[in-house]
Amino acid sequence: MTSFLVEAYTPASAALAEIEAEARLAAAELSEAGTPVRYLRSIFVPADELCLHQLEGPSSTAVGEALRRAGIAPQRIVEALT
Amino acid sequence: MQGPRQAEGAQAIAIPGGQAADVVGREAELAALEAFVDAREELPRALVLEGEAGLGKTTLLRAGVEAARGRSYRVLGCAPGEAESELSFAALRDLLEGAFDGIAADLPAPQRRALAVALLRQEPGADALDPGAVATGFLAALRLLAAGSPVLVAVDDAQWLDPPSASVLAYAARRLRNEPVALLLSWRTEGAGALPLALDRALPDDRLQRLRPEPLTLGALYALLSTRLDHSFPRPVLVRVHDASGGNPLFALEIGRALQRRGALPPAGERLPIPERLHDLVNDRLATLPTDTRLALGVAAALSHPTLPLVSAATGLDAGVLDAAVRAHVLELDGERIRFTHPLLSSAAYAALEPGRRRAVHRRLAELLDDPEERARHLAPAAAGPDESVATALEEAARDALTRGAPEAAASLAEQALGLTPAGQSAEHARRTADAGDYHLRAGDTGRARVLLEQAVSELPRGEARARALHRLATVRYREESYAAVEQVLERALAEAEDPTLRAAIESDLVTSLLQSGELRRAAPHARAALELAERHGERALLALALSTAAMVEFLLGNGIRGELMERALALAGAERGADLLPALAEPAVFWAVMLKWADDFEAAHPRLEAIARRVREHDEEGSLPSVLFQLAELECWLGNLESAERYARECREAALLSGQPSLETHPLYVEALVAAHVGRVEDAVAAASRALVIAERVADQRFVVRCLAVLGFTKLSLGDAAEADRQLGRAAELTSAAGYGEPGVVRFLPDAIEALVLLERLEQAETLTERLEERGATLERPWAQATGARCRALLAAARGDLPGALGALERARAAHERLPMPLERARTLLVLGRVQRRAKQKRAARASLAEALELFDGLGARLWAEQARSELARIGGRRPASDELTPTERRLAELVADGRSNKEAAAALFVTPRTVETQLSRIYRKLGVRSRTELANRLAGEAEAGKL
Repeated sequence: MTSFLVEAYTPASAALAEIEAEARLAAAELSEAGTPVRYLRSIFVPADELCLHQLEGPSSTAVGEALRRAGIAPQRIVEALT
Repeated sequence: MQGPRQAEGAQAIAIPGGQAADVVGREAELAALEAFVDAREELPRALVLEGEAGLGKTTLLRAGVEAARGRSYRVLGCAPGEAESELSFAALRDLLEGAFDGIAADLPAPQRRALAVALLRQEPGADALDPGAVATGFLAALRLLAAGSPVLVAVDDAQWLDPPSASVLAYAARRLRNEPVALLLSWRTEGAGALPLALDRALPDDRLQRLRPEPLTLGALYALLSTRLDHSFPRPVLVRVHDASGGNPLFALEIGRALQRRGALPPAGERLPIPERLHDLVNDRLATLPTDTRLALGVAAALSHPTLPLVSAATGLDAGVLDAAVRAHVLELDGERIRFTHPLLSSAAYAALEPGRRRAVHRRLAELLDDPEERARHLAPAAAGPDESVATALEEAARDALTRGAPEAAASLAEQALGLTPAGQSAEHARRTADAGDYHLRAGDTGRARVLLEQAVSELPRGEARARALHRLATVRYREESYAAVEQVLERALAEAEDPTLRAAIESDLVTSLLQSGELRRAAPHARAALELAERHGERALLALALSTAAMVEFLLGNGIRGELMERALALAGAERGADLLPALAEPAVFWAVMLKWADDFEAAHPRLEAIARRVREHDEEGSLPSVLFQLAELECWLGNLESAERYARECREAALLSGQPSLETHPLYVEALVAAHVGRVEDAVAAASRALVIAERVADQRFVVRCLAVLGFTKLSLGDAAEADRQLGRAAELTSAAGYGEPGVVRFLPDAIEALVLLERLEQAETLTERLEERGATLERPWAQATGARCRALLAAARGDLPGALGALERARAAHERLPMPLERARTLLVLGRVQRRAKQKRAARASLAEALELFDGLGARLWAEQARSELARIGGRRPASDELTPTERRLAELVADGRSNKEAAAALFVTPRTVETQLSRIYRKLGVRSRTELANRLAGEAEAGKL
């Protein structure tokens, strides 16, 4: 499993808790369907209208798919080490 | 060859709707736009998207248009470009493209014709089309369209509206009242500047919204770049792009494209490819396109409505060369129609043509286009320098634009003709200078008109042409409200004019100007000359005017109503007149109504004035409305209908504001002062009249100077301040007597002036004025002059101790009042009658007269006059006043006594006998429930503390 950082435009008015819940749910759904994706955490920067999500998965495509299911449009997905 | 413009626009530009979902990072702005179109119950309203280039105003405007369409608004849209910003009515044509046919049949014929000519659907006639008719036509069209569903008028890049269209839109915006019309405009501006279409004057603050899109946040920019460029940049690069672009989306996209073109991303620390100016970025982007494509783009940019066939014909290239530009998102195609994705790209494409090539392009386009104005617009830049044939073409195009009702366009074409006139062609240069000045004047730009006309006057040789220019110059001065200079210029024009029609027009304007500055006697010979010339040579409108002004001058001089002149003038009515000195109000019907009013025939004057006001309102001529409404308000005041007077005064104020002519403020101020003076609101009356006086004096409008002095004097007289009243009214009397007014109906302050003089015991002066008033009243059979003249005669007789003489005069006054529906004047006569009767010891009669006067004063709400009547009644004694409140006389006595005066001292102070003081004092005791002087003093002191005094 590789760790990925995903950057996504998020309006300043968005609620972080909802985003997290959606992302977690979408990752679980995808995993159940056979692609193991794990949602780890998000960092929301309202001033920049930017949210950084950290997920684990087999590929950037799989992670992107999970977020899109959660209604999040990723701008950029890169490998990240923590 | 290009067909007529309307065929070209058949696909309607309208504004393409933009899906809000495609818009990134604009949640707040989109919410504001949704709220704007949702407020269907609160129309008319306007929203202006403003800010610098590239901020995304167009994107938001398109989203707003889409939102409006979703709420079943009818959308009239236009997106003018720089190339058409000089083409008259280009924007109006786009706005009404799909809508005109549906409503044309419902428009009144003159408005339909004016619009059809402006929209190039009909050939203009021989005469200049009245720009006002196009504007009223557009407003009427808007109202018709809005009757079905709400209308959204959307204008993208309003800074490039051609001036004739902008005037029409501004005109309509100012006149929207309850129509369901929304205006959505985008407007390129740096900093907080003025608003387009003078919207801040047209709409109340709560109906006008300015929306300045914020710079995009980092996240939003990120999303924009990745969707539009299909490329994702590393965050550090993105942060630098964000910083460099300041969040401006267009700027950021151009930087992003430049980065993409370089292929490799810049290593950290290396400078981004960010040129100093956005234009350079845009140029870089164009530079990547093939040469032929760039040439075709330049041609498209030079055209007001570029189409593929036209660009192809002009370049000799296949239209396919533009495909590369479409792929590069420089252009969008809408059928055969070409649109640049951003105006900056159009400007850059045009600027990229080298000068020789640019001239060749314009020359070629001038050959291809049919419309004379558009052709001329291309001929000018096609010329390498001054060129008489091009100047001639431009001169003709200017005349053509004028006949289409676009004086703004005519002015700009004439200026171009002027600029291209070869040196040495001095006659042409002078003629074109004068023409350009004339067109600017018609377009309402008096400043530029003055410069050009003054120059023309200095260039032209003595003679007819210079006389015309001088006549125009006089109109400029008149509009600029420097009346003093008008006369001089008109006299010069007259000395050089030979054409009898021109002479008649100059003479007529001279009369207007002289009347305004109070030179009635000097106006008379000019009025006669104007009439004589117009009789022999003038057109109908000029003759009607000459007849009316001649009749007016005779009337003002005191020669009565010249029915034969007015009948002829009225029969000629309905003719139109061009951009001359006089406002639209110079109609015989107006002269007639005003004369009837001044001649005391209120019954005939009132409905006529109301009909004129209705007509002026319907034609939305704010410039004329204040003059009519002030006449009506004044008449209502005379008739004692103060509420109605106040209503007209309010409407007068509104119309004066809308007209934008500062000097017209005298009209509402004067009638406001008049109403306030009648109901005894002294401070309001004095403030308004004083302010109006300052304005009237500044612009040398003697008629209003006199009116203001009259109100001020009347107010002071109501307060019993004879000295101050005389100061104002004496000056008014001097001015009107010097002017030579012989009609009593225009000097209605005269009885007040006389009353003040009598109070000041300047009886000889009062006598002279009274004789004049009586004589005028008798000769001209004017009930008002007869009634007030007799009242003044009574005042004089009473002042000389001749009480029987006074009573006789007052009987004559009462008889005249029977024919005069002016309740205040009647009550004032009764007040004088009561006073004289009291002095003649006819107590019962005095009480009856004063009670009647009091009732009339109270009914009018004339507080100060009612107080005078009450106080007189109290002096007679006997019957108690209705209430337990002290009358003013009682109050004064009570104060004197409480102040420690003896009955004898108090009697001396009040000019009554000590016995009267005793009687009054016992009544005061009874009213106040006190039994001694000490109790009275305590009681008054207590009231004073309680704020009752």
